[in-house]
Amino acid sequence: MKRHKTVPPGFDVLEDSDRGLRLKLARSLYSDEVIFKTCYVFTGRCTILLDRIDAEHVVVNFNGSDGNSDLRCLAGEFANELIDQRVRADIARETGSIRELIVSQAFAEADFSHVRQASESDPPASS
Amino acid sequence: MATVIFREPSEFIRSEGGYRLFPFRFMDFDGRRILVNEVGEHLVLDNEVFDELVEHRLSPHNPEFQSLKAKHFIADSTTTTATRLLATKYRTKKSFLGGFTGLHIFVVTLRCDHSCHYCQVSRVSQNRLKYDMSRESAERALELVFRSPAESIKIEFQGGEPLLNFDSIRFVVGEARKQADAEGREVTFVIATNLVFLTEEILDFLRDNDVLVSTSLDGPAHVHNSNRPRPGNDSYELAIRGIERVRQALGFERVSAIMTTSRSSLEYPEAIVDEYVAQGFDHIFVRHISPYGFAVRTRKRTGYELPAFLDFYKRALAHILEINRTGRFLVEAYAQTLLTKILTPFPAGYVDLQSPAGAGIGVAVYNYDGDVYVSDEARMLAEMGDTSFRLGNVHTHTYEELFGGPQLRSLVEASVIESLPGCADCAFQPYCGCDPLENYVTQGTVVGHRPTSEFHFRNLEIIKHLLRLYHGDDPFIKQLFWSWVQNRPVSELIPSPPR
Repeated sequence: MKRHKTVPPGFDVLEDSDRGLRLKLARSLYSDEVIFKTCYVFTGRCTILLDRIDAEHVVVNFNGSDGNSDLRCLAGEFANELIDQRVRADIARETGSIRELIVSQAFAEADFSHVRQASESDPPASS
Repeated sequence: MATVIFREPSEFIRSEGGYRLFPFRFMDFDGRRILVNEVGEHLVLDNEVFDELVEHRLSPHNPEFQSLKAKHFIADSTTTTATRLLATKYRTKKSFLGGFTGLHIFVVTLRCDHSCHYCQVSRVSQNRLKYDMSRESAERALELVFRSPAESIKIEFQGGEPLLNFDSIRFVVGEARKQADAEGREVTFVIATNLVFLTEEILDFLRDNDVLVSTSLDGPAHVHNSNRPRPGNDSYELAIRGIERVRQALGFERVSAIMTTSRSSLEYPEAIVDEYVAQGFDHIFVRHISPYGFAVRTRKRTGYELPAFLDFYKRALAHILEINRTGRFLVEAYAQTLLTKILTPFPAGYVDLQSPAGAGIGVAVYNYDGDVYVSDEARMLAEMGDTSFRLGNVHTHTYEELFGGPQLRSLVEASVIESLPGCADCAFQPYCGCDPLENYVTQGTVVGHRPTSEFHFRNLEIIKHLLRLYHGDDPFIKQLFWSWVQNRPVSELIPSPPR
């Protein structure tokens, strides 16, 4: 999996100007959840606005204060992060039921007998 | 011709790539990928191997395959053994939940003789008795302490300078001991003091009642006295003399010290570490400054940016590692906590590095005026005029209202990092935690915003630094980190399998 430093070739750049950078994403590749999680990662570094231009595509509008060269670099990172988030979503889908099983088994078999239970004989706190 | 008794090991390896993934999170780690599962076991893989793994193309003959299987990242059968093992480790990791509110902090007075630049408390002068905890408030607080279901209870005295209200300490210790004995519960005591007001009577009492002493030591005299001004500018000399007196009266191990990093500390990481060695301590907690209370008002004078602290921390840690290399056992406490979480399934007992966070459910604070807070930082925030994290008052609220009410429930909900944005997918989630109060103070919301969170970047960078050291070329560091986890020198290390 190649790690991109700038906008990767073939990435659909709709606009690269003083007004910002706009990338078009195919929703067949990236779910809304993946797109939103990816955007969240970058919300400390630039302003991101999402626009659904048709049923199959979402446009990501990047706006930053540091000029577009940084935005182009950032868009490359964004492309990598999209793939990571997509892989995370795939792993979560594949392993979600096992995770639930582990957690539920962990708590179902927890022994809290060593924990003192509050009883009615405890002194009530006055109010 | 030799008789073949066993077949070649390769014949026992399945030739098909049929395996299933177990849950894990991952992130970039210096151009490779680090994988961490639900219980904190980790593995670093080359990107190509990672791609093969997640695309189910990884050959059983790949050297990483057995490691992935051994650490439960994959399973090649439908056995339930792996899930049971993981469930056991997960239960162990979350076992701190069974000890609901084990730590109870009594702020017995706000009065203090020091005027530390970074102090989180808005202290008042020594002669203002209205800032002492009353007998009635102490009694009501003790009733609440013993409503806690925790089998083991720790009571910590703080201030101000708590020894300025020693009568209250004596009362609480005596009553708590009686109550604990009657209920068959364990109770321990700690006093956080600057040691200035120690007397023989106080030392006798501390010894007779097994009270541990915790004090501040910020480094050599010029750093300590600069950070902790008091009349006479002799805080360092008094602290060192006090440490010696406590050791003589109570025993060498009965006093510990903590340091706070202020701006004036940043130039002296090695000297600060050396001071701890010179004073005979084997633990040092390289602690960043907190964004609360009085520290906020003096931020321009005492504060610093995160990169400066990280540089300081790494220099201090490097020096500590070198000191250990000479045979002198010295632990950095924050690294020890994180390494315990990285290398073992055991909870680390540090409220900011657990999920949900320990505010209110691991610790409760009873202020001098009877107000109850979810943490020490919460009452410091209140001193600044923001009572958002005040649960109530010992005189007007019941245990159920204080510890079972919507305020604490919502705080707990906001500190479950498994569901927090940015944390939910973070590979280091099993090692980390959150501080909803720091989020609130620095970002205006208890949930916080990870992409701009100093808490997030501080822990991310320290965890990465520790992992880089652990996976580096120096076998001594791997041994040393295991020795820190076991809290014993390398020479006394119980062998553990490298992870």
